[in-house]
Amino acid sequence: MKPLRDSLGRPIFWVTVILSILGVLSVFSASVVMTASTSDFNRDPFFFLNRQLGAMVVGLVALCAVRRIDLLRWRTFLSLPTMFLMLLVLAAVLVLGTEINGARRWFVLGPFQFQVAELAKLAVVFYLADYLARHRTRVHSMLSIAPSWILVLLAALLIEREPDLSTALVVVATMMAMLFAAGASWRDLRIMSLLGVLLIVGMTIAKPYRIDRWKVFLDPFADPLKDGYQLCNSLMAVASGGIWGRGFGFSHQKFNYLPEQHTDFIFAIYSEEMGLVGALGLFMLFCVLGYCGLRLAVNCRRPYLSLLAVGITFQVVIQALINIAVVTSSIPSTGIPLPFLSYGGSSLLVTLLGMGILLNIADHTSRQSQSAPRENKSRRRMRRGSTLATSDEEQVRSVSTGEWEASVAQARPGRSRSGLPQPVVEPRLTDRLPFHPAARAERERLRRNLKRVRTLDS
Amino acid sequence: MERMASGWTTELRGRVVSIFWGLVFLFLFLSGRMFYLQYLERDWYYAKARNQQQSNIILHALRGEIRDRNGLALATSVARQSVAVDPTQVRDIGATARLLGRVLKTDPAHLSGVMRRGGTFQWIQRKAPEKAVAEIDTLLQKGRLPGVFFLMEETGRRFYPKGRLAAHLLGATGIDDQGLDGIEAAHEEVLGGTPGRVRAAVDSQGWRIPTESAVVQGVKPGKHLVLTLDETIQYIAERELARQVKEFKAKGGICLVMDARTAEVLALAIQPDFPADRFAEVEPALRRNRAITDPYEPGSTFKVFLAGAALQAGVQPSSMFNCPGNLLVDGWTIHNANDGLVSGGAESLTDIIAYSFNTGTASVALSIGRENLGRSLEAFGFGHPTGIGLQGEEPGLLSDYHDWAAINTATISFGQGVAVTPLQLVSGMQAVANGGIRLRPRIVKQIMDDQGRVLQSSAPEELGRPLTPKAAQHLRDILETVCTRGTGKNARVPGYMVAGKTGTAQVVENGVYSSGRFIASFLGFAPARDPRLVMLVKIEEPGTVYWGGVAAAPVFSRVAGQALWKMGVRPTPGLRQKAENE
Repeated sequence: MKPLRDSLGRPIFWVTVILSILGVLSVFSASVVMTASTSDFNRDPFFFLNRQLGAMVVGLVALCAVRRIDLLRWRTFLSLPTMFLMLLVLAAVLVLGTEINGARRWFVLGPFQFQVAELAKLAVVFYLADYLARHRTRVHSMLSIAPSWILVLLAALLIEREPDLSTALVVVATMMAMLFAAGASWRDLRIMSLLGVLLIVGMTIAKPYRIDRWKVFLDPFADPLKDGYQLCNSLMAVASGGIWGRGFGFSHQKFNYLPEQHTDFIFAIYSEEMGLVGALGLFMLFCVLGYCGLRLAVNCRRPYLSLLAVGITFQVVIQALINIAVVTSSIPSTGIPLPFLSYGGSSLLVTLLGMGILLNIADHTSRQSQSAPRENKSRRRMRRGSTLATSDEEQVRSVSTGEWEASVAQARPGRSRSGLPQPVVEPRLTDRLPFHPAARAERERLRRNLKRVRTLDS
Repeated sequence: MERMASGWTTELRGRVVSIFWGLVFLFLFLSGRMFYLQYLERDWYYAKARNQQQSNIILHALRGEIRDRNGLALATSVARQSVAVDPTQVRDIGATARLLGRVLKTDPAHLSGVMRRGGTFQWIQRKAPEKAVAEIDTLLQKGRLPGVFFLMEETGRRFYPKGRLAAHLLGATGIDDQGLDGIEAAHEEVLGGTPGRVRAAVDSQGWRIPTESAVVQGVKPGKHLVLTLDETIQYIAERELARQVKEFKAKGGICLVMDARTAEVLALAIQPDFPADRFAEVEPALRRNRAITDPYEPGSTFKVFLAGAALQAGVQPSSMFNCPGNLLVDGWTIHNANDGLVSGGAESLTDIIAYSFNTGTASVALSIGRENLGRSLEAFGFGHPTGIGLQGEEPGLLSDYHDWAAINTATISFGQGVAVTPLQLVSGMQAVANGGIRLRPRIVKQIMDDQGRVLQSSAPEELGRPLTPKAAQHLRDILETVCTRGTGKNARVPGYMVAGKTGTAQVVENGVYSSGRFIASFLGFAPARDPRLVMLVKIEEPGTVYWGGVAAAPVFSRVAGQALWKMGVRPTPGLRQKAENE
């Protein structure tokens, strides 16, 4: 098999691996003092390292497994049925979940705890990608796609009841991003944003501790020993790093000064040890991840996979942004883990699953765009195992969008030279009116064309 | 991207690209924030961080020793650990309290109360005994006392290895080893050490992190104070005084020994005594250093200084003075003491002193006049503190001689209507013994650093010359006579000639002389011809015989004999024989 030169999978994979290793090391460095100094963890300095390493191994295995599955075969199951299942589970965790620190977010199974909302985030992306791809012609009207966002908002509401406002916000933000990418009208987006802002304000006023968080955000050093304690120590940790950092393992704030040093506030310890250079390096890694994921969405000509890539990428990157903004006191405090770096098995597992899906899409896209001239044995096997079309509608669509022409053009030598005629297919009127008789005729014609081209190809 | 063509995909592409730039913009904003925090405002936050991450760790400085003139420790400090507890780490308060209570011999209920006070730090016992610390340490090793830990104290705990020896003089220290009384307080700046401080990294609980640390200030241990006291003579003085006080059922007593040539205090014994480390528990009246703080009416011992004044004024030892049984002065009648010695009407100065005739001394005083007597007494140092350098020294009571009436001059001459401290008496006598040259009494001999190097030595300091050498010689002869044929026969030491003066004073009670309460004393020096030590023995309110010659003089005899032997003074040849013959 020819190496996938054009593939975005390679950078995504390596960024994932680098971030995971960085995460395990950071969790170890940040937690080592805490675990060694209290009897809660049996004074085992490797307590969190072992657990995070375990989650990483499981997550990487899951990543490789997910990379190989045929997403389109699972498409139907992963949309509405999964969404309903998820809503059921979210409702169940409110009743049956184990309460930790006044929140019911976890199902406990022996020594393992799983945070349901983490999985729900992924389910929402799958559901929305499927729904919006199916109904992409109607996305411009919010009312016509009402079932989708009502279901997602319901999920967000259930998550908020746990209570876990920040995860609910991430879910809503991801939905907004996917709606935006799928082509929602600006008017609808404006209205939704306005409603969202009003909702956030209302929720803030509803719970007094959220108002306190605003006060602390505005002036952390007003009460540095009580309310502002965590934020002050976070800022001290970040600033102590300076340009080059204190060096890996040499954080001072991790000596039980900073609460949640290995979970939500791990970035503070990370940037204390790694400095501005390390922090900007981490930003670069997330930017590369964002670039590759979104580039994938652009490259992939299958709307379902495109939207999937947008959703997953956006979700990971926006979490990183929110977490870092909280740690640096750029926005009011809210508890959200930093993907890859924060300790948390569910979070890491789900993030790695998401990366596996991105890799799956990348493999799929590169295979599609490569379209080798010779259909040898291995290539046929690959085609069989991987994705093509699940419906006539999809197949026709891929042809009508010029997908095929493009792949042919790519295979042609010297294609990139300017001046040469490019096989660009303009969108046609018929394309926009799918039930027009002319469009139907056009589809027939294209289908015939496709057969002819295939025979020519072989 | 050019191969993307359809309308929906083109729109998706554009929107995805704007999502990407939106995310990049947010990352740029956060990068700016990081730059602000980690570069522009770093110092401000870093200072705050350092402020909480560092703490001063005190390095304890041991207090200096107090030593006798031969280098024996009279007071010393030992490093001590305290036991403390972090109640949040204690698993079973009841069991912990029972264990600690057994080891520290404290009430477990009290300890569990302490642990229930909460917080993360409570004292269990400051400066715990070594044995208890060792026992708790074993328990800690076995993991049976979670939450309990030791803290090294910045100061040690004071010990007085000689027990009761010189307890009044040494004084006491507080829980932080600061001097509270006596020598400990008077020389605090010498003895007290300066604890060192280390600026060290600590965690949020204040525990030290073994990383970088900078010594901010080094430890300065206290300096050792070498006293002029001789441990052996002090011991002898205390033993003999205690024996006498017990034998005569007295309320108390003082024995003060001084080197005649250098005015160094060799011994200062006070009865009743107490163990030095129990200082705080003794009532103030008993623990006072009465040799310097309590002036009293010296009685007949004061006649020494009258004789000195007379000799200085030109009177010869053989000059005769009127010495009747009763003498009328200003309408007051002066009696002689009822001790069986009867004067012959007119007596020489030598006999007046030797037999201690009150009427005779009054005649001498009136004949030399109040000015000669007053000036001379001031020259002997009465009415002013001697400046020995101890806390609470009293000046005594000697009114201005210009205000004296004849009766005052008469009574002061035999030690009534005047109050002096035992130290003043000894200091005045030292001038007599030292050929008329009075030196400042000293208690501190040297100051040594912790390496044993001498930093400072005290030197003899002349305070005045109350007597000419000739007068001093005459006075010594007179005082020798007191011990050979006068009231002080009991003070004689086999092998040495001694000189001195007895005294029997009545205690003043509410402004009148008490009939049944006396102070018996003997003030003298030895050997008489070449004095080496001056001594005052004062027996307060003896219950049996109260005559100074009977109650006090024997103590002088015993202490002086052993002290001279200890000092290596040669006995006068042939004198032992003579003494035995008598």
